Amino acid sequence: MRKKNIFWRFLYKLHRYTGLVSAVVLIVIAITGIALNHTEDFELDSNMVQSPALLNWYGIKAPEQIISFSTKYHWICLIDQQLYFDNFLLLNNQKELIGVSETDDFIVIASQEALILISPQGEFIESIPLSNLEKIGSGKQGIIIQSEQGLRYSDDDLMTWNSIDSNETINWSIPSQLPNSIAEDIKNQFRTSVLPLERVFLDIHSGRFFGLFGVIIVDISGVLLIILALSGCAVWVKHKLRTMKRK
Amino acid sequence: MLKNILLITLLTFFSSLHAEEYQSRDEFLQQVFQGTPPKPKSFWIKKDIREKVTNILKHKPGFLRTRYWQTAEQSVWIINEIGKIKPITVAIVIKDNKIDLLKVLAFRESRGWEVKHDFFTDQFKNNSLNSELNLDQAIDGISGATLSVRALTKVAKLALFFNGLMV
Repeated sequence: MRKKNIFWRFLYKLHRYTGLVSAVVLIVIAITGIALNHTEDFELDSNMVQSPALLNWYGIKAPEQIISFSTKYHWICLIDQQLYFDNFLLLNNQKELIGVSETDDFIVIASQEALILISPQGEFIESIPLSNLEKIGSGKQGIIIQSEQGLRYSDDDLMTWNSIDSNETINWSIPSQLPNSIAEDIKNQFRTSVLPLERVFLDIHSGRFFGLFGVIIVDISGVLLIILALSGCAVWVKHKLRTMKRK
Repeated sequence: MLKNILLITLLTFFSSLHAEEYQSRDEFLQQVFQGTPPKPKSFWIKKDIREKVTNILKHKPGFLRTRYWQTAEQSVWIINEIGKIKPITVAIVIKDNKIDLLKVLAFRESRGWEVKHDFFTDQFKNNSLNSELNLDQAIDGISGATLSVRALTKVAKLALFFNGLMV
């Protein structure tokens, strides 16, 4: 009889202290879980972390190297895979920048896989897939590109490309040094555009935000939650049986 | 150590957003026009149609010009539209103002790739645009791919709308 009492007293205490110990972690997991269930409603996937402290915590730095080309009035730069028109983000997911050329109607940006046409005001017009581009420049016949197919020019607003004589004088586009003010602005924009809030919530939810220690704490909390549920059920059943016996 | 763990999880997250090209534009055109595609033509989204295009896309168009390939029998439009984060490249073949074929050429999102399958894209066949700029036959969605389904539906409407202006 006495042994039985000791067991139930232990179970009560276990339930009480397990609840207390795991409460904080479970509340955090519950809040982040609810938020993650409504990622789109809360725009967690499209909102990026702006806090320098959080970005430092994740070790996110802007790449030092910015590839830049100048047009008559503007700068075209690629940092990581982000393409900028001056300090305005034009496109994401762009491959290596090869050069930039311009006509009265277009600025033509050559990347490894495409020609990107923008208006002189920086509006995106069209991306033209072209493989293995090597160089872009200008000559007598307007914009000229060099690829595996040789030298080519276009006489129909860059819709189609025709071969040209390789003897023509061509001013090939070459990189230029980006002014510091634009470079710093772009680096800052890059840094604050790579970490979605969803990632932070996921990491807090799983404990990874605090490294291995956090993961272990969340794992232990999971085990405590199981103990909490089982001890709670046992205590409830015991009360129920006692009440039934009294009746 | 901590930074490494965080960076690895971050890299894993972004690497899941991989691009996948199922068929290149040139291969598709060769197939549709049986080896002799016509020269491309350009279609400019001028101010007078920008509002209608915005209504179809539910956002301002992200491009000012698109190209199409046209013969007497059919026209082919290749248009990009963002599903959730990244663009989906879709080719639409139109005959007699109806969709003859809709094909996903490239899918770059991490979720919703089911829309590339024929069981889904076949629903667009023989669909046309009504006066309210909607498809005249409803498209059944795929759970978990809602945004991709929406993107393909918008692109189908847009191609039919552009094609209607060219006739």
